[in-house]
Amino acid sequence: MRARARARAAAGAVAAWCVVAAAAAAAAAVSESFEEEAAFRRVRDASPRGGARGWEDLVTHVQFTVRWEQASAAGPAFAWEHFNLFPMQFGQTMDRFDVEELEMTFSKGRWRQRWGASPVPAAQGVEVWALLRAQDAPSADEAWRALAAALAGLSCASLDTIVDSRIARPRHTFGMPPLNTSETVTDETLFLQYGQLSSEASCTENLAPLLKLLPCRGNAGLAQVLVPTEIFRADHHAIRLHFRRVCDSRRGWSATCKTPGVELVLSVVLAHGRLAPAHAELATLAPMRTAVEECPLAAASRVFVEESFSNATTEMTCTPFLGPHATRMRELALRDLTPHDAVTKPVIPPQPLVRVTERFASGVGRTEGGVVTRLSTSSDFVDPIRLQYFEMVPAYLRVRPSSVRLEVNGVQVPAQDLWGPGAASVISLSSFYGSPTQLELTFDVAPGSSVLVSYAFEQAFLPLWDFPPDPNRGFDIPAAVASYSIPHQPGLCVQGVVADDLPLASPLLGRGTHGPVAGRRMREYAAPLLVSMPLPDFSMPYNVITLSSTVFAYLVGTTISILLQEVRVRPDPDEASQETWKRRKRMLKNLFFVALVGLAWMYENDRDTLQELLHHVAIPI
Amino acid sequence: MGGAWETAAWLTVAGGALRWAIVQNGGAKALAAVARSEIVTAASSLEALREGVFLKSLGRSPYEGAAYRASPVLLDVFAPLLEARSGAAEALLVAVDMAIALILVASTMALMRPSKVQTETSTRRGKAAAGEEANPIERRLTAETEPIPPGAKVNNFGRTDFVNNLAIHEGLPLSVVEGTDAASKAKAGSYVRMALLAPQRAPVTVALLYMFNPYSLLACVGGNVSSLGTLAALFALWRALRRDTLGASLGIGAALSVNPLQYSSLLIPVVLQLSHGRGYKSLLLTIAQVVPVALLTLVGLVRYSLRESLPKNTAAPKAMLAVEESIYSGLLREVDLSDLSPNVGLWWYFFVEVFEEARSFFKIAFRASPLLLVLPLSVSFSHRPQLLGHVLLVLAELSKQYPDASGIGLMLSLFAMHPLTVKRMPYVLPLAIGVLSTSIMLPVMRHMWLTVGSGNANYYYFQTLICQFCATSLFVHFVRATLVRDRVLADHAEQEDRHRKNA
Repeated sequence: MRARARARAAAGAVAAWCVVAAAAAAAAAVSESFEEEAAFRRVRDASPRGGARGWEDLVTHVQFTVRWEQASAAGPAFAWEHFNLFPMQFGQTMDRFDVEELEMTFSKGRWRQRWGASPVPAAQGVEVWALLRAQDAPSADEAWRALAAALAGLSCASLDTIVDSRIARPRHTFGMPPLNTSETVTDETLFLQYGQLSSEASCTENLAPLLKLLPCRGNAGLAQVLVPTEIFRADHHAIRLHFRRVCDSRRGWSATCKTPGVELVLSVVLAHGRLAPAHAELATLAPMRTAVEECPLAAASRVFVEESFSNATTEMTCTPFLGPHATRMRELALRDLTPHDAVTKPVIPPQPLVRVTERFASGVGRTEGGVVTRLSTSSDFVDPIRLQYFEMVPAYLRVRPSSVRLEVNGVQVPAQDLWGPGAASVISLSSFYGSPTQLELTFDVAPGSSVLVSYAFEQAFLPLWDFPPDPNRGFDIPAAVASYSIPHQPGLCVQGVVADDLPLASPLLGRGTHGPVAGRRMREYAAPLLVSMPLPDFSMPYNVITLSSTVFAYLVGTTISILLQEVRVRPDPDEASQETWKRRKRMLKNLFFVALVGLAWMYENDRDTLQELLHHVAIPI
Repeated sequence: MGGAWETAAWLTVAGGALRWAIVQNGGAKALAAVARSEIVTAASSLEALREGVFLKSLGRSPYEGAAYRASPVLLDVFAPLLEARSGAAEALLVAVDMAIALILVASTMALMRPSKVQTETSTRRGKAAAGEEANPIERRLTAETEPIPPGAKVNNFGRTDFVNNLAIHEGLPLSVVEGTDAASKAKAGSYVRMALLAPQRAPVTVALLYMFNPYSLLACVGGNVSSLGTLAALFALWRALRRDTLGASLGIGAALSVNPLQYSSLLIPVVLQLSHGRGYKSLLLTIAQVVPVALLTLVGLVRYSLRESLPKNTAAPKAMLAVEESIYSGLLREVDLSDLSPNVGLWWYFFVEVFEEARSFFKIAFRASPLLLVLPLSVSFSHRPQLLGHVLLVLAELSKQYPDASGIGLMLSLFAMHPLTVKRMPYVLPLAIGVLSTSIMLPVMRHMWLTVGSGNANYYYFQTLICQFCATSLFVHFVRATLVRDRVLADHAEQEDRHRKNA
């Protein structure tokens, strides 16, 4: 109780300071805001076994948004000064490297398909991408390397190991479409850099520094829900830090911007699978019931819970578009967890239009193999959607160009459409040890289609010093990403049904973080894979260097000495045999002499041994 | 002679038929599955070429990615065949192998015959002999003819011309010619040697060895495209022997366009050979004739094969730059040693294991050290240009970074063209067994290392080590035996000379 009081006092002090800061900011026409929300959704296990036992899954989404806008007369440039709510170390990093947009995601565990579309789609491990402003590609690379190192320091992850072999430059899959298309077409100073570390394990030490970026840190507000033990015990968790520039409260950057701003969103998604119903009920709000303190700096703190499993579809005025799993959500007051409002809201949690049905690595042995990925599209939409499949194959796997295969409904797409000069797909092959091979296949798919992407590769034999410390673990093939925009379809409730007075809401509630649902970019990740690489013997460098060099020296040295020396011809066979016999006699004589000397020495110094020796040959002394 | 030619031709046809039969019955795939990295490397395989053709047909650079890294000329040769129908490329490889065998046979027969040039030059030199400066062997050769006119050179290096390396020994005692006597001939085990290395049967032996040795056979069937370069090189040597300057220059240009690194040293024997026959015209003149034609052929072939990727309507220097760039985009990769896939050679494991900071030093050392041999070899064997050519070819095969089975097959066949030298080589049988047994063990060890996982890289490495040691020893002994043979001939001639003087 005392602790609680102390927290309250601290929060009060922060609030007082905030008031002063806000007053200062108002003079410069600066608006800063911090909002947080949490949504809890229970999903019934539809499998026969789970259904019979009444198992439920609990999906939690907690999201924090810091926004900072300036009405500037000087132009669209954002002035990085007087940090109030926005975290300074992060803001200065973004300013230093001219970052337009950045996303960093930590994830572990599998997101199940029955949970619908994930609010934070993530690849296993760490994934970072950034849209950088730079003069040219090399300076963008340099900035990216420095930025990765800075982010590594910020998040305590080994991001600095995203070196060349793990950096890619996809053109379509990441980043939001620009506000004004014509601006970006001519804009050659924007570079999208992408990196993935599949083998990075996300842990408490990654989450704690990210929570510290929030105005109330982890001390008050919904951040208290994020108990590390709960998060890292979950079947799936994904932590995403998303930074972007906003313009007139919309995303993106424009030359005609009146109020440029920046936005930082921290999202955490947890999924606990297969809980007993009573347990699920408890688990839902368990961390909140103990000690949740309101964050005085938060403009809004919202908590949504699923009220029941009632099917809300019938109450809707439009046809549910993103799947049939409509439900009702109730908003709770954070302070006492009582219903905030008498009315419950019907919501439709989004379902993905594209699913990854299968992904595996094929091949026997450690020299060659292949990767097969199968996707399927749902039948919930009408017009074909444009799908982008992006995969980054590290340089240690040498993709065979002719083996890259894309099949849509069993019909192979001709190679010209993938590789040709005017093709929408972008394929760039890696050279030996450089940037990875990038496949960014763009194609249209109809509802209810199946897609197959496959390629074969040869495994490179790496120099000893290029192997990681645990080479037998296998080498990563990073996760593949399928991305698409949610189509506009008249007559369908694509806008979601949560009241529009909520400026931001979790995608769990059928709302996007970034504006309306239609046109929103969705991503679906296929799992990363592991391949066994051919390993040399790690203990042998000296042996190999000496032995191989000997054979080389033998070739060169012997031949040169033969060529430079005078040729000696063998004498007659008779003479030769006489010569040999003479030599042998001489050698025997010498040996006999040496033996005699040895015996004499032993007679003088070590008579016992001599006696023993002679005893063996039965000569008494 | 006619009989030998006929037999050799039939053997060639039979070998070609055998290769085609294996290709047609899908044996190639089975063989490739068993011993792919021993038979072909990424620098010489038809599979890699197929990837290059695939990329080129889509309007992209064939050198994109890491798949294709051989010459653009090969791409141009194989592209229509690969696109035409299955089996056409393999048919070309079989035809190339047959052509190589026939050229080897033709060269061997030319080496055996006392050629017209030989007689002419001997005659002219005979005039100059007149008792003084000329070499003893020279005098023995020209004893029955007129003396060499005063002032005439023996050849450009002042040494006797052994163009005809087999026919020269007629009438010499066996101990001088072969380094053996009647007693050692009776030794057990020498029957095979006698049969294989009888000088009069050399063309048949060569055809038999080239068409039926497992290395060349597997290389051809397994889709090793490096045989095209070998064909061009051997063609150049053969045309030089026939005193066809143009043919030889074109051949060497073609060989250079396939692999400039490997075949550039062949310019020396070709020039020497051409400067030999024609009344000893100056070396410089021959160089002036051969080198420009060879270079023009090289540039022409490469430019033609890159006609689509070259910028149109540009000035010549820019186009030349594009040519160079394209050559180097393929070549520098080979030089760069980025591919460390296992093969029968020693480079790959060495550069897997060698310390990072020492890598560039060893790259230079390994590449430069065989070059050190080219000049001494050229001087020592300047009187035997054909043998010099063969020795340099074998040296290039031994010291290249991506060697494969075809090199060993070529080495066997080339050595068989000099049976009298091979007869003087010690330890041929143990060394040959060493090469053969390790060749059988290589695929086994690779399987254990990479597929089953019950072995490790060292298993494979030690096989390559022994294989390379034995092959290197064969080369070293061959060079030594040639020198010994020359020495014995010279000693014998000197002895005869003394006898004659005493008489």
